[in-house]
Parts: sequence; structure tokens; C-alpha cells
Amino acid sequence: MAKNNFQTVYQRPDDPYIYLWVIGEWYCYDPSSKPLGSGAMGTVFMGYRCKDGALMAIKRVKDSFANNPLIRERARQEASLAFRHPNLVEMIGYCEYAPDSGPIFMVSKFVAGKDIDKYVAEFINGPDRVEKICSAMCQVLDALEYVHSRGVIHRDIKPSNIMVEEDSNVRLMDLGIARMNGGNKFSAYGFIGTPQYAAPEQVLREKTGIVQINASTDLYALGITFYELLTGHNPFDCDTEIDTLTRQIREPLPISDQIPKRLMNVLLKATEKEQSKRYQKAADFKAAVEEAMMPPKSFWQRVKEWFA
Amino acid sequence: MDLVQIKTPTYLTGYAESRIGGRSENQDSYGYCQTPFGFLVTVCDGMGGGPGGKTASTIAVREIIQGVCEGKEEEEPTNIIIKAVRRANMAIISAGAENPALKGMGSTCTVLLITEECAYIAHVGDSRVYQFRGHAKVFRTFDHSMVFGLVKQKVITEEQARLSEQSNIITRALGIKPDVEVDITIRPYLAGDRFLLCTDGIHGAVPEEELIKTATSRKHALGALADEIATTIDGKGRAEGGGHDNLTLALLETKINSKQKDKMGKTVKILLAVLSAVCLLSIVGNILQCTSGKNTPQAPAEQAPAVQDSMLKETCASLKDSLDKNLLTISHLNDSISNQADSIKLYKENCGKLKKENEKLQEEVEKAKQTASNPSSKPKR
Repeated sequence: MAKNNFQTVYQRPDDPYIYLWVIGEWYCYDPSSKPLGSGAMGTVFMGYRCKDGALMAIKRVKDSFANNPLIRERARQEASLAFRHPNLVEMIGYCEYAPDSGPIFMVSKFVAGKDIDKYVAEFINGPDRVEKICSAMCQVLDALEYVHSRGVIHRDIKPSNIMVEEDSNVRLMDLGIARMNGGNKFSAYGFIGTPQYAAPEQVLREKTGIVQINASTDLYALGITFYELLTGHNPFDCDTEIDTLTRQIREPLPISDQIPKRLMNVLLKATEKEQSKRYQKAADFKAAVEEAMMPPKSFWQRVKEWFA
Repeated sequence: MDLVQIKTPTYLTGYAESRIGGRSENQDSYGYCQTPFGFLVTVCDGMGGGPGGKTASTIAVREIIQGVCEGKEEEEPTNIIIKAVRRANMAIISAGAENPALKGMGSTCTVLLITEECAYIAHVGDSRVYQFRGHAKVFRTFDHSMVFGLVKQKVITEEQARLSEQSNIITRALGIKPDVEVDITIRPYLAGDRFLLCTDGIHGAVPEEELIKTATSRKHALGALADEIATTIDGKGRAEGGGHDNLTLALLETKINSKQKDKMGKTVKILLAVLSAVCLLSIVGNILQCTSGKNTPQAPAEQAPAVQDSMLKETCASLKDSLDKNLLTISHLNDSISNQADSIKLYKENCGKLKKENEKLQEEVEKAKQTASNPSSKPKR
């Protein structure tokens, strides 16, 4: 509660708001209000910057996770990421009740928009469905290129972590605080990533580090997300996490006639089980998507390219 | 914690050890007790930050021991153990609900209740119980973890599961939800069998073959062996940079054969079938030889009849011997098969009892749930 005798988390009697002191400013939220969303790691509420009423998203990390010092450390790390990109949610900072105990809060700018799957559902049968989805995915790839170039791997790319603003700008959310389990024992919530989108190396990665998580891990997850948005279903989803992961490790991405053939080939490459066979950079994936959406090359163009 | 000699009954000997490893606190706990139903040993591995992990495993050990000690005489030991584990589960949930600092805590558990009749083994989570005979593993519990789910589906190998970064994600634990499923099994044992109860800090640190080799070694005394396992793994963790998991083990050795006999293994069954087939073939061969000997046209009497007679007598005598031996083997086999049939019958009866008791328990749980959801129906005192 007190940092140098100063309360960072404060609630007045008879006032529903909880006030949070983050990087020299007061923010507040009403814990009894309807949450914006709720995930495995915590609940997100609509919040405000006290000085001007600017909208904020305030995530209160579940107390059961907040009791884990490794997760607290990771939350601090995430909040300290000074990433500024038009396709990333802007992080404001981190607030904790006491340095190593009590609730922790993460404050980011509020994104007025909707999850990408809800956005896609609005035009699922439209003639420009594929183009619109490709455009949104290219923006996510821009965000990933930026994040990867700064040495950070997201590790939990999925539709619910991609928001589309009213002007169709796409923002990648939740750089994640659950991506490090630090060897502590966890119940099923401790899985790093989401089984429906997890690349095989997210299970097979060894503590000794022979199999590595890298940019291609995020690109795999984005490939599955891309497929899901185009077809309306997750290709590997099963009743249990174990069955989902089994399919994720064993089965190739099923060919869908709802996806243009050249784009399907791009997705097949992005979701190769072997990391080395995938795109290694988000920029390469983006270039391949753009190429797949262009008119096909003529025979002579291809011959020319081959000789070049 | 130092190596501790477990005060066991005469038919057992055992040692336990728990170390902090490379962590800031030891969240593992163990305990043992002579109960009215047999000798009980339990090893638990806590989870959850702050004081939660240690508190959860301590509660688990305490409640399991008390639960078994307070079991009713007329109940089956399997039910007593299941009830004790469920009692520990509820105790952890209640403690977590009362104190926010303990919210989210949980624990694995392994339970060994050993009597002169047999050994009862129960577990929840990824702590394990091994049974070794000679230099081989004859039984091991199956981890309730995500990676072992994939091993079961044959997607990854046990070694890949051990090395996976997600190996610490468990699918069952005490303290997570009110109805916990407990795996329980009954094992017969022979004199010299060893039981190892350990947390993942032990079995996750070395390949299983290596653990089996060390735990079944007869070069050192049992106590020295338990200490050697902990020291080797702790040393390995330090050599790899520290930060390694807490490690806890209990190693016990039996001095008598259990009254309940071992169920016939698959290998033994195959071996018996092969032996029976060989015996049968040998008998048929001998009979055929005899009959063909009778049908062979007699050599002319003038060609050394005395030699022929003696040869025939020798052949007959050897055939008789062979037949006697075969009959003896068959009678042994018959005995063995009838013994096995008895054993299977006993096993089936036990299964039936277990089923009934499980049904009873489920009914009790449902009743308890109903009572909880409808507090007004509670009897007034």
C-alpha cells in the first residue's frame, strides 16, 4: 500500500472508485462496473485518467497470480515496455498495492473498437471479405515486425488479442504477463500461450533450450488466426487442451476452399510444424500475403525471375 | 531438511529427505504415521506464490494423515484414503478462501498406505510413486500433467515431456476445485521391493532410467541411497546454475512378501503359454515315436536280436522318463494356473468392492453438494 509512506492504491469511504498512482498521475476505475473483458490472467475494467477523464483500460491481475513473485516481475517488465506503434496498444504503466504483495494493476490506453473476429463477422459473406482480412492481418504483421525487432516475442497471438478500431486501424493487445512461468507449478491456466494457436515448439521447447521460441512462433499463431478468420473456425480446436495440442503437433493445416489457393499456400508455409520451414520474419510473411493478393504472374515473368 | 529415518513397523524400513533446491523456499512437505489401517507415508508438492505453496502442502500432509487415522474400521482402506485426500482438498480451498494471501494455492499429493496384506497407492498431480523389484520398475503412477497427457496420446516421448518447458503445468491438484478425482491402486509386494515417493524436483531432474538405476542399487544402505539421490540431483541443479526445483523423496523397502499375491504379468503369461506348447509338442512327438516304432517292420531275427531288444528297452525307458517329466511339468503348470485364477478372482472381487464404495462416495459428495447449495435444509441444533 505504501511506497515511501505514499499510498499508490487508494479508495475513499463511500466512493466506488479505486484510485491508482501510475507514473506520476492518478487513474481510477469502478470495480463494481461491468468488466470490458475477463481472461485467464485477470479482469479488464474501463478506467479514467483523473486529470482529464481520458479513457483507459485497467487490468487487475488475478490475486492467485499476483501472489507469484515471478508473475509480478513479468508484469513490471511488460508495463515498462515503452513501445509506441500505431498497431500496438499503448501501455501507460503498472501499479501495485505493495512492492511484493497485494493486487497488481496494469494501465493502458483504452482502444475503442471490437475484437477482430466480431469485426470480421460483420462482412463474412461480403465480396471483399478476403481483402479486408488480409489488410487487417498485414497491420498485425507490422506490429509484430516492430515488437520482434526489439527482441520481444508475444507468444499469445489470437483473435481476442487483436482489436479493430472504428477507423479500421488494428491494434495488437496484451504483450502478456503469463508468458513466463518460471518453473513454478501451475494448474492448467499456466500454459504459456493458447493451445488453439500454439506452435508445436511451445510444448516441445525444452528447459535446456535446444528448441527455441522465436519470431516464427508468433507467425505460426498468426497463420492459425488468419485461417480462423477466413474460414470461421479454428482448425485444431478440440474438447480438451490435450487433444487440441495433439492435433497442433501432428496435423497439417487442413486445406479450405474458402481460402484462395495462393493465400492458402502462404498460410501453409506460415504454419509449418518445423520452425525453419516457416517465414522467419513478419515482413516476409506480409510480403507473401501481399503477393498472394496480386494478379498472378505470367509464365514469362516467372521464367525471368527464375533466371534472375 | 536432513535425511530422516522413518519409524516404520518391522516389515518395513524407510528414509525421507526434503531439500530446498535452488528456490527461495521449500514448498514440498512429507509426513508418515502408523495408522490403524497400516503404515502411511505421504509426499506433497505445493504450488502458489508467497506463503501459499508451503501452506498448501503442509495442510495436505496434515489432513491426509488425520483423515486416514480417523477412518472407520468397517471401511475399505481405499475409501479411507480417497476421503482423506478429498478432506485435504477441501481444507486447502477453505484456507485459501479465508486468507487473500493464500488465494490460488494448491498441492499435489502421493499417498502410500502399506499393510502386511498389500500396498495402497494414491496420487493427485505430478508427484510420483514408484515400485521397484530387483533392478526393475514394476509400477509407477501416471502424472496428471499436460505433457503426460500428450505422452498418453503418444504425441511426445516421456523424455520430451520431462524436458518440456511446460512440464510444470498440472491438470489435477488439491485446492483447485471441490471435487477432486483421486487415482488409487492396490499393489502386492515381495520382500526387498522398494517404494519411492517423490516430487517432480526428483523425477523431473534426471532421465527415468538413471533414477531407477540409482534407486534400485544394492551397493549402499537404503538411507545412504536416499541421501545419494537427493545429493546428486541437488548437485546437478547447482552445476546447471541453481534455480532448480525443491526436491523431496521417501524411499521404503519391504522385508516380507505381502499376503496378496502378484497378478500374473503379460510376460509371465506368454512364457507359460510357450512352455505349455513345448510340453505338448514333446508329448505328441513321443507318442508318435512310440507308435512308429511299433509299426516298423521287424528286422530279421538273425540280425542280432539281443542288441535290438536292449535298444528297444532303453528307448521305452527313456520315453517313460520323458513322459513322467512332462506330466510333472503339466501338473505344476496346472497348479500355477489355478493359483493365478484364484488371484484374478480375488482381484475382481476387490474391483467390485471398490466400484461399490466409489458409488457410495459419489452419492455422499452429491448429498454434501445439495446440502451446501441449500443451507436451509441443514438440521438445526
